[in-house]
Amino acid sequence: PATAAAIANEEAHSVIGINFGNAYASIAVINKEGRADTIANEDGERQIACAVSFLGSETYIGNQALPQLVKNSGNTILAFRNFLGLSFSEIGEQSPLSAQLKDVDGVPTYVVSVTPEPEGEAQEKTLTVREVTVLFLRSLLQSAQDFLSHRIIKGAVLSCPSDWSVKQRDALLEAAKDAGINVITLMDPAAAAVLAYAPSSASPALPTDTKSAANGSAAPEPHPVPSDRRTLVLDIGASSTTATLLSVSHHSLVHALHQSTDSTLGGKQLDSVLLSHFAKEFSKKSGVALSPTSTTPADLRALAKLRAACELTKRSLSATQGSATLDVESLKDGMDYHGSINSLRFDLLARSVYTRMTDHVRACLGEAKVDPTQIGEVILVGGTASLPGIADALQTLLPDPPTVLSNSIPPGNVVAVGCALHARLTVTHPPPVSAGSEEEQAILKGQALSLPIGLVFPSAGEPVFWQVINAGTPLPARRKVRIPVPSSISKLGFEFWEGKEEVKVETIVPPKVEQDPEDEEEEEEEEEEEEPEEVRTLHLVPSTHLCSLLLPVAHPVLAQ
Amino acid sequence: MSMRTITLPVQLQPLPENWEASTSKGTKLSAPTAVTLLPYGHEYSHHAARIHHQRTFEEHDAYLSLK
Ligand SMILES: Nc1ncnc2c1ncn2[C@@H]1O[C@H](COP(=O)(O)OP(=O)(O)OP(=O)(O)O)[C@@H](O)[C@H]1O
Ligand SMILES: [Mg+2]
Repeated sequence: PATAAAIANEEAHSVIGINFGNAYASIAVINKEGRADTIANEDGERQIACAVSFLGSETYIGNQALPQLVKNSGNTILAFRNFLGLSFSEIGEQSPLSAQLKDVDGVPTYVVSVTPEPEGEAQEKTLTVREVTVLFLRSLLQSAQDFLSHRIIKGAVLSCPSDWSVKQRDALLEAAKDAGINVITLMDPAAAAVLAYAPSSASPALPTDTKSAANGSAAPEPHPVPSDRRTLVLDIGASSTTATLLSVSHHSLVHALHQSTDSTLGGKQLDSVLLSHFAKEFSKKSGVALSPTSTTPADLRALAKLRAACELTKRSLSATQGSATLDVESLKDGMDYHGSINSLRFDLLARSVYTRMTDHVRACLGEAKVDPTQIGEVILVGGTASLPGIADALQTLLPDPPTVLSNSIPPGNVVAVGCALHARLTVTHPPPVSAGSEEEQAILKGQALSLPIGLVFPSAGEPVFWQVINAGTPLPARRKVRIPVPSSISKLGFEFWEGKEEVKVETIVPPKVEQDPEDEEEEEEEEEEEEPEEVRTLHLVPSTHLCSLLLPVAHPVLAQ
Repeated sequence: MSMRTITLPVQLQPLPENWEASTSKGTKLSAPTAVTLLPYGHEYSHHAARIHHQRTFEEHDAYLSLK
């Protein structure tokens, strides 16, 4: 007979997480240890392009649809997710390089050409954004089922941008339902990132059947951060960059402090930088002119080919410190092109895009009135954040010691992993109130501590504030504190204070380096004025005395 | 749920002669901030459960230890 533990275990392995982006999607399942991993589809890919293409009687879905962009762009549908739940008049600019949406009674609709019968006549086929989404989500579900050996998937948590309207969410929920997915809930990508990185001690272990003995040695925690902290989630996708500042308590009680999105900034900008670079190189080497801004049909085709190749080259640059190649057969006028670029050169070309990304983070912190020193952790999310140059650029903005750049989970997998972990939690440890209910709404509207609370131990010197409860902690809150008391002390007195965070800015002029007289000559020409360095540090200081306590101390008598 | 304990690495000194455990002077905490929690995560579930069943932290601990 199945034990309760076995049933709960079975449930945990029947749910999945889906990161449904505008450009790429990914799927995560629960592994044997109760954590989550993204899966590779039948083609070995974990990042599945949100693309559907029609060619004759064939329908290509996912990465297989991408090559169709070159010769069959009019029948290749891309970047449809962001149009879900919108009427035609609400749709902004469409990319001219793929199938176009038409206005059919206000409903945005793709019109593509298909040939249902082999050797039959081509026919027009119309698909609404929702229908395309259903096709795509159904293929994701199929991949998950194949991976899980045809197990029935009981539910899925889907990511959904937090700024989507009710109408957009409803459209996504309906499409998922039509695709045969039982949606447990939609999830904010930034919250998913926090869950993905929460140490396993912060989430309950899967119930283990006493018979199928637990595996004793838990993997070491890759990511030690304080359980209460401010976390910055930086999500850089294909065409958008979102910075979200979150307050995190006990690793998984979360609320957003601020969020800002730039929907003109992402991996596409880096593809464009590479495209210009290689188009110029090609023109120079081959003598065949190819301008990145040309709009002649032949050039558009060549540029589509080159752009696809540039995206691949960019991806391989995130996996290597060396150089990456680019190969395009018959790029233009029958001329092949072979190029290469090293990561140094790429980072140089990408610098202006990277700067826009760090500027976006700086602006987000500014709007939230939070200093970089007040951030306890940064989580990188989104395919583009895989590029090491981005973490480097962030390091210059954020002070090194308090910040952990989380990169133990590939950024492209983070959201799917967090969604799967949440799915697992809702089946093994269901929350007491149902999602979307009025009661849930009431619980979500909470109150949090405005300033930190801490202890001050009376002593002769400057009072030291020992923070116990962070600013931003949702109420009610409880913390347990252990204070080591030497045996010479028989009375423990301390004070409760409200504190405040102060950022001290010091300008440090680096000391002049004594130079070897022999070296002086060489160094002269590149002599640099040593820039005074600005060092910012965070200090917690007591500001308001709340009350004091005096406690007798009973030291245990140690037996011999 | 086992509660994490914060250990303060403080080097305690004997109390200054004149130090007294003052009774509250009526000072209050600063007004709290209104926030919207995100309904995900293990700790959120406990938070919601305590509010839903109107349990104190201790009552919730007792309930969990029975399970
Ligand atoms: N290993 C990699 N190195 C560099 N860039 C990558 C890598 N993997 C994916 N990308 C880029 O990441 C982008 C896709 O990221 P992601 O899947 O997060 O996007 P998305 O959320 O679907 O898109 P959007 O920002 O439009 O909503 C693409 O531009 C892709 O080229
Ligand atoms: Mg995304």
